[in-house]
Amino acid sequence: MPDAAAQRWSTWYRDHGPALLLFARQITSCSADAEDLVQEAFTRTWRHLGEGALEDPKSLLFLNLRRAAVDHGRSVRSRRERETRWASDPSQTGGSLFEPVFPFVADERRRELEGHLASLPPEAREVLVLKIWGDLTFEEIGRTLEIPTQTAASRYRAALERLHRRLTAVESRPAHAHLSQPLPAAILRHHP
Amino acid sequence: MNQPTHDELSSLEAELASLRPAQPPRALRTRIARSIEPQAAEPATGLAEWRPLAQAAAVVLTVATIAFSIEGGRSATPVVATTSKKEAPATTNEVSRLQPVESVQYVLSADNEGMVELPDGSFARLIRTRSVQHFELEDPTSRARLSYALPREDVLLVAVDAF
Repeated sequence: MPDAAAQRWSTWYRDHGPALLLFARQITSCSADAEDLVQEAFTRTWRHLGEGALEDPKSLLFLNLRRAAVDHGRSVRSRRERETRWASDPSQTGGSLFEPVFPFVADERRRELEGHLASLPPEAREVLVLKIWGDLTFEEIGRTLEIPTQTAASRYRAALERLHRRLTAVESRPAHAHLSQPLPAAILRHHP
Repeated sequence: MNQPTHDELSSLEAELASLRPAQPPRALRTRIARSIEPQAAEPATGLAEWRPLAQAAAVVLTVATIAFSIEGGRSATPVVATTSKKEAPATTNEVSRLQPVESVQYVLSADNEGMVELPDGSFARLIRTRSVQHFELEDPTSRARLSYALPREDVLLVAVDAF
């Protein structure tokens, strides 16, 4: 491969690889599948643009990743089933979605955000990832997800509001709120 | 429940944007290289990027060495590096007249390649730096100077405290 061409795709990988993998991990619960999708996105984009491409193919990479997911038979239904499992068992995702933050207190917040992000519906997570970490415009998000631009924008705002509500609900809850909950009936039966 | 204000959402947006997506594993890069071009066995090391610089450094070194081999470097005629056997190879004594006078290292990039577990069970962050080191040598008698640059790639392990 000519050095210039290798340099070109290496730059794409450096600039967009982490966000693409993050997006792929919103589509599939399995980290190996997510890596396959990123690989497929690069391969398709490279074939499409060729070595002579000068433009930044960011939007095309995300689009090809999503198309690869569709082509591989990852239907919305099975995806939702997997995502439900994923949300309940983050250990299956192959580790943290984000780089650890220092100091430790800040990393606690990172984990809290990551947990709440994981609990959002897949459609909400996708649009958040594409906008915030993919740095796509709403028009590009609309093309990637095959939805109207306005829908992408409203879905993004709704996702942010939902995330905010979940975070503030946790923050406003008393530290020992769970102690005031009535004991489950099963426990009461054994320990009246 | 109250709707969050625009400022609250902007603040949340900024907080989310401050999180950096985890780096893909290095193996993924190799896989992509192979799928894009099967002959590209291992571009992850980035050695291809350094080849022109290394070649240039080698040419500079060769020309300078031959120049110093011609009687104190006083020749006014241009010197061309060739592989002809007529050119006397530089001897150790001639090269050793050069004294190092300056060395500067320019760091071009530093990549965080994620956490690794060390054999003792502790964790460390892998940092890969790429730099160019410039050397300046001088012959004290003729004041002739030789400059050359060498590419470097270093891997550093930065210890991480586990809480």
